Amino acid sequence: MVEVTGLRKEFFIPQRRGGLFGAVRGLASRAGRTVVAVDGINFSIVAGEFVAYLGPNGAGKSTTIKMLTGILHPTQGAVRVAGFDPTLRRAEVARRIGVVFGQRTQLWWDLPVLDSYEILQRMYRVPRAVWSKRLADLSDLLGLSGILDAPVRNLSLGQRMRAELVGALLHDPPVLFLDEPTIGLDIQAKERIRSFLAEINARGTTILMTTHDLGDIERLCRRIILINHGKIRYDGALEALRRELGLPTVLTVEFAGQVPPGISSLFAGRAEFSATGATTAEVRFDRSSLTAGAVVNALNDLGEIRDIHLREPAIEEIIRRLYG
Amino acid sequence: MSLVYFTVARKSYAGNLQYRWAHMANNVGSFVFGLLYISFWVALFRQPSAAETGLSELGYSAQVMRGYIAVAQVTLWVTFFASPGLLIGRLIRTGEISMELARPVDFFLYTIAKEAGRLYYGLVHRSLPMLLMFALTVGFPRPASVVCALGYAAAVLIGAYNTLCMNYLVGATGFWTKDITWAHRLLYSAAYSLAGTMIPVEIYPSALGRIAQYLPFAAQCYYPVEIYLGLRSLPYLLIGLAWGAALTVVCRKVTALGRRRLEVQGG
Amino acid sequence: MKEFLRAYCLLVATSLRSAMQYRFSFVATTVGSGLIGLVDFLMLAAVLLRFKAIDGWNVYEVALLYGTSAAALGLFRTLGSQIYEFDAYLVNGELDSLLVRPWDPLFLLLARKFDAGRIGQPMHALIVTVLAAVHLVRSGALSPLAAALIPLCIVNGTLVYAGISIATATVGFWTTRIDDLQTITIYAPSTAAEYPLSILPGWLRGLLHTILPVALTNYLPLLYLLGKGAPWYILPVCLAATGFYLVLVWRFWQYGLRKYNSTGS
Repeated sequence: MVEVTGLRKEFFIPQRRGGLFGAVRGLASRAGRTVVAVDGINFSIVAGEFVAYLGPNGAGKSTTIKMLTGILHPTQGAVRVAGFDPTLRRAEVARRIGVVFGQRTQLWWDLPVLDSYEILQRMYRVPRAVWSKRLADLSDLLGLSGILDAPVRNLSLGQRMRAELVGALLHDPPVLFLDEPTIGLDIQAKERIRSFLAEINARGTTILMTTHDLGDIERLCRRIILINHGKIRYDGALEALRRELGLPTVLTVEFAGQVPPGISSLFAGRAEFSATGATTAEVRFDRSSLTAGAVVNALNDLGEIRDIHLREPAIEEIIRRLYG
Repeated sequence: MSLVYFTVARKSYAGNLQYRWAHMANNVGSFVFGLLYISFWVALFRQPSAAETGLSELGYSAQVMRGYIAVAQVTLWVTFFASPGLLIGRLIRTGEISMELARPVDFFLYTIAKEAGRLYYGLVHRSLPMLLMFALTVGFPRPASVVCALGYAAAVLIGAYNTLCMNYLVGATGFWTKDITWAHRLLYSAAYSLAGTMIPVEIYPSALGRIAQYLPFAAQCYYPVEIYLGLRSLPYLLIGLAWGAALTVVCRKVTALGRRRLEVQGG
Repeated sequence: MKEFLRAYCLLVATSLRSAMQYRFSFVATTVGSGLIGLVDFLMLAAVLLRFKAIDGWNVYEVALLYGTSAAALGLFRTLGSQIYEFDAYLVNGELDSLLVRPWDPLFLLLARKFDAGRIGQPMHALIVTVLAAVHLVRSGALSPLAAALIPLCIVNGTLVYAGISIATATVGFWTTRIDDLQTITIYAPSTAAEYPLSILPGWLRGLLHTILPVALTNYLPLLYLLGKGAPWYILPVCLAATGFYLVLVWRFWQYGLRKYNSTGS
């Protein structure tokens, strides 16, 4: 569905000089520096996959997505999305993809949601009957019935994201690009969108999602592509990544009394313990081999717990670990 | 205490500096407007019926109008083009108004001081370049005398002050209604014609021509230009002064009322 | 193309419906903004009456110039408001959202908004035009056939302003902000077109016949329609010139778009 070969993007940043003479000289000379945003990357996504595209800000993530969707033209390399080259056949690619940008809206701001969908129906040449059925179906999955008549500007963030998602899928694109779809939402809204995306993916839509939210990835993606400094650093499954790096979940526990001495022998080999104070300790373990519940129960057997706190290694930590 | 207001004005001036290149482009556009108006008057005076209009008796001719338009276009940037409603509407919409009203300064003086800085910026970066553009092309007239030049300076200050007050009042309507673009557009259009930016107000037909000379709008452009050209004598400054005083009283009253309304209504 | 027109009609209908919901405000704004423009013109007309004519154009003929120019520009600002406000798309990166859709972003900009709130401006201009035309037909200065061609002039004018606006928007790919440039390219020329262009100095007149061809919107056609000496074929020439101008502007826009594809925002 998506094939990227030797993809490279350079930006030329002209040197800015202040003042009148600087501006005039700026027109004549071409001094400046070349920034390589994407440095020859390769990957291939087949139909039906759900891939997370990760990377810190400035890593080349959005630049890649922009090249996949036809917004930017690559300096070098080849891209094929749904069988077409977005640089040469932007319109054909556009008809076969759905795009949702996290914070920005693609719907018509002043008009009711349904009107936006009707305009999209015409724009994407979706036959009316097909469109109606699809709208009913998607609207059902995401619970849109209450908001179809509301102008987009009156919707809350959660409602807007749901409306955007449906809008992006009305023409049944084989590929869906998502840019931070759950950002700024509460847990309930996030879960709603995640189950929706899982369902859509199960029905065959290929999804490429950029996100900073580990919860999104854990719930939805089997595969991660990680980019930093313009290069692909990792391309594979999340669990494999965690195992490879050995990044454990960290559970901080505060006991009512002193830290029980028997703590270090708990789950020998599968967990690491370190006391961080008179009454507090840290437990590091791998969640795929040991559940948090088991750890907490075991600790509780040892002594009365006052407070526990669970921390997952963040994407940034994984990335930082990935290359020192 | 007055130093605060001066500082506010100065900061406002500095804040506008970053846009001076964009404003240069705008200046060219304005200059073209000046050329258009001048062409208009020159063509009018070319008409065979020009002699019967009675305008030359009032002191007008193609040459005089050339000067009139040039001085008017240069003056407008200080005495006419202020921020719509002095941006009070924006403060009200975003809710920042409560914070601004809570400051330990007089809100009216503070608001007009901010705009005054912008008008000063207009003087340096718009009026002066425009003056140069006119001088180098169709010509910019000399003031009729030193007294006239001084009178002009006074008229400009009075006109600018009146503009600040009028825009302040437009902005202040935002304390009562949400949509002020209405009020602003109405005032702007009326003012632009009644200020004599293109047509000296006394030329307007019958009653309008007579009344317009006593409206505050005339102080925005008409009197500064006419005093500069020596077509009107200094006592006419009193009209603008009187309006300035009256508007100040109204502005202060409206501020107090608006403040009370906000306290009652909430943000 | 057909799907664009269908989508656009839907947009207009739905925008009007939305605007009508706030009926009082909509009517008030429409009538108000119309009145403002009208009053402005009346004050000018009063002075003109005193001189009887300007460069051989009497008050009613100037009213026709004014009405057709303001109507053409007003119609464009209602129909193509987002092109006029294109710099917002560049500043916010919203252009990217347009580029992922199957149409050229220019059509998307057109289809993005129908500015029903601005409809007061072309409406009052059309009223002025009709009143002036009626008077001129009655006085014999304008033949009924010529009067019937005036709507065509206005449509042509709207296309010219669209062209100028698109060209100005394209410059935005290099400068980002275009609102100050628009004073020179749209606001000043459209005001100049409210008067007979013959009053302007030669170089300015030339400019308004070529790069910013507002002469095509009303002055040149009216030179023929009002019997001021232009030959009949000036009308098709004006239409053809508009078409040619739009082709050039479209090419320029594609060039700017390619530049954006290369360098981003």
